[in-house]
Amino acid sequence: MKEALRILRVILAAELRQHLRDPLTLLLMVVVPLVVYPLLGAVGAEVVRRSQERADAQVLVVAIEPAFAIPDNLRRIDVAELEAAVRDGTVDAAARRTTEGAELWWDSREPDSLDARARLRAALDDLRTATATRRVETHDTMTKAEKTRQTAAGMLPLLLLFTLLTGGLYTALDVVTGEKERGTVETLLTTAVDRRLVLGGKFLLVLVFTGLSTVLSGFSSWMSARFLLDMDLPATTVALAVLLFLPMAVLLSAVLCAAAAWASDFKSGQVLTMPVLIVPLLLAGAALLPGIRLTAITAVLPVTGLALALREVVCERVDPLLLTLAFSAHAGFAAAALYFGSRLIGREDVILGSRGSSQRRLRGDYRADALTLFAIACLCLWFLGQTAQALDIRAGMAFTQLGLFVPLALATPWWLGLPVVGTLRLHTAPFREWLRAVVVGVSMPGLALCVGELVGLVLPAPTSLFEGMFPDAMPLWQLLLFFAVLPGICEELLFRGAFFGLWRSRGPSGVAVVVTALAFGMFHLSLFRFFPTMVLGLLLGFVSIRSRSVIPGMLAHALNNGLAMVALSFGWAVEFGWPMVVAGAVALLALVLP
Amino acid sequence: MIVATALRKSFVNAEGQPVVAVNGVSLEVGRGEIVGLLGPNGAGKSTTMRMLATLIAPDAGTARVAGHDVVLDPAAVRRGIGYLSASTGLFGRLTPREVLVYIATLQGCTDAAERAEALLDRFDIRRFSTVPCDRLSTGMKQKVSIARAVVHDPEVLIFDEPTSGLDVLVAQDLFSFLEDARARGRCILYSTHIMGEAERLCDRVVVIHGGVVLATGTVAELRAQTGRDRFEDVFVQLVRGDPA
Repeated sequence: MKEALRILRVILAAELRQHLRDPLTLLLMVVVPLVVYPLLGAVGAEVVRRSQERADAQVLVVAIEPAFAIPDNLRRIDVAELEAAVRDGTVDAAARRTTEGAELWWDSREPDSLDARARLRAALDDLRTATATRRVETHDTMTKAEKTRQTAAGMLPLLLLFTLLTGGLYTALDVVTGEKERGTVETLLTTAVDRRLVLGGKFLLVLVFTGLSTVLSGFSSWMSARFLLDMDLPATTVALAVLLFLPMAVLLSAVLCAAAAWASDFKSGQVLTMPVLIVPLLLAGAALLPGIRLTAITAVLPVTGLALALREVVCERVDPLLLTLAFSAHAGFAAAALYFGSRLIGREDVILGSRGSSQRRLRGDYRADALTLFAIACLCLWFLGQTAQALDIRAGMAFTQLGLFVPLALATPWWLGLPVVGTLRLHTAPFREWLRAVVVGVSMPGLALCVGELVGLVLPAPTSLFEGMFPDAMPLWQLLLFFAVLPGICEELLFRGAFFGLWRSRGPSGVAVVVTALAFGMFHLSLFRFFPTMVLGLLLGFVSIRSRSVIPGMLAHALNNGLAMVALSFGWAVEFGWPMVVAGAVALLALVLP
Repeated sequence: MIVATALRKSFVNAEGQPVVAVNGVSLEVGRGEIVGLLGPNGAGKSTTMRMLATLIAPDAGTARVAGHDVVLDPAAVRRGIGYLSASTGLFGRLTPREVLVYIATLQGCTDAAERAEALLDRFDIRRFSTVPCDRLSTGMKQKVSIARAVVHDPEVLIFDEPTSGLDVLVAQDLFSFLEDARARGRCILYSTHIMGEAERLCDRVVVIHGGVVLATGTVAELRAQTGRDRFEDVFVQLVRGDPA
């Protein structure tokens, strides 16, 4: 028994060693799922908040007697037939007085109508209070059959996508990764056939399987709707839905084949194709949200656009222009995926070489480790750091920066057996680099503000974005310590130190700066702050490249944050204007000067 | 039929350092000739053969195989060669007959079915011709692989250690096939670890080590050059540079 336990322990240790040497597996199987949900949750919450703000500001049209007091964001018009006016969209909602109280009509197919109903309800509640015990009779003009169809229409894209992906996933892994492993790809490559045709044949096979899965699940869902849900969907609608999904089948087949080719063996193939399974399902899930509609903008969003188009088709709200737009955009995505996929698969090292992540690490490629570090840092910040900050902002900030970021930055190169000082670039720098850091640090807020202004043109930030972020009653020295000095040192050590140091193990430093800046932007967990923080990350990255050290960037980062804290403390209104543009230009100029 | 001049190929090794696997290898193989490529593990034999088979591109140097340049016209080269190595697998869910027809069709043969039938007899695999390749023994699989490599009757054969894992009987079948191919004027480049095979089959031998050609000549010439009688001793002396 004792011997058996010893053997089990030895085997477990050897297995663990092997798996821990594959950072990609750890990253994608453990860390990514833990990071993806908080990230999506935060972005989703911001989007919902913003769309709510916008919806609240929008004036909706209602048909209601002048006797009702209505809020400012409702406009009253007169119509003859209330129910018909709601159904045909002349008004968003309607209400009238009855002998027993009031009647209210809305159409739950339309998000605006649901909003108008909510606003009218408040008015009717006031009336009910005033007139005591009178009841409000409610009528949804959407029929029960239409409701069933709406629900089914939201589910159908997910269903089709799921069967498409499961149909294509195993096939792609088998014919690309599996055949690489079994040596049959090499057998085919020894024939006179063009390498692209060999891979094209494999892609077509995956496409046939994904297409077949889509057609069969379309047929099966049509039959189920007809006989189980008693929903009479015309065959032409189902055919149109399946046709719409064809670019999706091409797009995902190409992505699956490329991911499968990139993998060195079946196991890493499964790991690499996992995001191809998860991300499209999340994107298609948007079609389930009632507030998101098919517009010229949403039509061109990958996967989401087609899912929404499909929903509209099933609900028989066909707008040929928007459907064509969604179809063409996805045909374009599919063509791009095919082009890049074929270029990737055509590479000698991809199709013939061994590309295991453990081999990559042995060859001095630490990019997967950089991503793992990023994911762990995100988890630490979101789950530990923010919890600590919610309990006590000062202690929480100190814990996050000194207790989480610094140990992570120092431990990662040590764990990987790399020189800590060299990887983090904890070197001294010449005087002019310190000067450059000061100029960039002081002028950087201007550039961030300019970027924020530009982004705001496309994606207006909610007014409440920075509210409550910094405690009002904190003295300036504490604001500077906890929000400028500590982040300046610790975040630089983590991003421009450890993450950048690992990423630049392969490829040009410029690319490493951009990737580090992207990670830095995402780290702040806000859709609206993403671009300004990414630009700050870019500037700090170039400061660190110019100085060949992480330390001057710490000064620039601290100065940037410090200025914001001073402005906050003294109540200065910092707004976009020419001085900010000039400051931004100075920051850029300081970077390019010798 | 094969003329390689100063071929060079480097990779990145496990320590992240660039390693030159093949460093200026030149060799020639003529019509009706079997040339053995001999060398210890990691000598650069397989890399050289893979470059000649156009599976990987050389970093430098040139090679013409079956009358075509391996870089400028790789498809024409592949049409004229039969390549076999440990890493060229068989389609496990296809039968030997299906494999042969499939590859012959890809190689542009209009009479793929007839060629497949002829090879089923030539290599004595007709009895297993309807069994999926996954279920064949190692020897039978190798016979199917050899038939697969020559199904389009190429002028040049590049065989990388084709007898590894084979029993004596199957190896004998292979030798007789290669001797027959030589008699029909085919050009054969053959790598092996087994000195007896080189002595028996090869008209000339190219000894390669560390990516560099150490010696070229007939078995007799190499014996004379080293002053050793056993061919294993000849090889060891050439590779180590000292008496075995």
